[in-house]
Amino acid sequence: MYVRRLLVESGMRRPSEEEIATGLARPLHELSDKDLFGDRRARREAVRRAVIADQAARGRAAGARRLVGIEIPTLELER
Amino acid sequence: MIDPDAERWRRLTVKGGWRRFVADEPTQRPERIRQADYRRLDERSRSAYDLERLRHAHGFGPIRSLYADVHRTLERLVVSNELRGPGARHGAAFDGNPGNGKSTIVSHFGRHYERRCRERYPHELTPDGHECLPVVYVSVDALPKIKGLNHAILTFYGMGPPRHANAKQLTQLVLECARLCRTSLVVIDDIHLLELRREADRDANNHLKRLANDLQATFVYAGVGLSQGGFMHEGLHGQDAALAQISQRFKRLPVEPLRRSSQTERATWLGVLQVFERELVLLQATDGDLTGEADYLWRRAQGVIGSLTQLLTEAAAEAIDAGAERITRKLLDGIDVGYAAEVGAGRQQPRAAA
Repeated sequence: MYVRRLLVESGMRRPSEEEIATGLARPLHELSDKDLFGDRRARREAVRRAVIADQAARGRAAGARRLVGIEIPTLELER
Repeated sequence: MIDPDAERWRRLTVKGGWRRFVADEPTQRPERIRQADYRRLDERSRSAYDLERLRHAHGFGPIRSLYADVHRTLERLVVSNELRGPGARHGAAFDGNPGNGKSTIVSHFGRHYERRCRERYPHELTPDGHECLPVVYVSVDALPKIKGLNHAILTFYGMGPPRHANAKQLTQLVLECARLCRTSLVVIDDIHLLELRREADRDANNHLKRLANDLQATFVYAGVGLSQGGFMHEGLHGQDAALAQISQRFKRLPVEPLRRSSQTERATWLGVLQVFERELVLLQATDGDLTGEADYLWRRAQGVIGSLTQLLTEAAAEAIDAGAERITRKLLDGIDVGYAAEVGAGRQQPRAAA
């Protein structure tokens, strides 16, 4: 919370939902095996899957909420 | 087997292919028939109907509303250049990652522009008896030099460049062709392959400037990472200032993935999906099949229109082929698109760094 408050006070832009999602997944992907040992590798994979599943679930729920009341524009095709 | 009458693939970098692309009309959406009527068709008719649906899935044309604003910007630029006196003209450079639609935007602008020119001057030949070619469209080869760029332009005009001509002679030939054929728009795609930051590439930079100075034409470039790769070089002094000519004269037009952060962006994304719902002719499809999966589809394509098109046209082909006749989440899950989109969606592991 303290760090977040500092970031907000410094005027840093809040990242978009997509940036947060990719930002969460990326460090987990990028951990190298030699930095890990024993069952941490399995734990890392489990965390990765959990993060992705959680993103998907939150995305679906948020997506369903977001779609309500949106007027879809009619887009024109190339002639 | 390729049906030469039906195929829509065009080599845009030669005048014949470009002229056919300009004349092409979008495919007509086949009527959606009832499943029972489809089953009653004989095998030959069914196969022809399937092919017609697939052809339309690939040929219904890009979504003009997504780039109508930038086309208007280009139109203003072209008109302004037509009215200008001698000297270098201002141009535009489309900058964005692959799949975002740069080539589509520039090629279709060229198509519309040429159609307008031909409405104003509906003759095949100029008053001097030369072929009228208002638009030139070329793509830069890997590691090009001035000679290669000249060669590409001359190839578009259908000229076999003289064997022993040097770069200067080829440049003269390019200028002559453009003048005689009344070329007023030059589109150069994949311009990022022309790396301009290195010492050895300064000639190429000067060459582009010379063409822009000596041709009464608007130049439109498209490429990847132009603002980072040295193409839109920013320099104020000495040799840097000379290299900065392009960034001073060219308007940078970024081409980015579709987003979904604001209400307007989400509405546009849904509009795009609705276009696919309408144009992909599947017998069991219902309204909301794609718009109901808006977030899933965004994650799969990461907002990249090229990835979305690839995913949905493959899904339509699979739905027709397997007889499902509807695009479902399960069907989409079974289709892989480009590596970058798959990594972005968390469906593939990124390649480990060496």
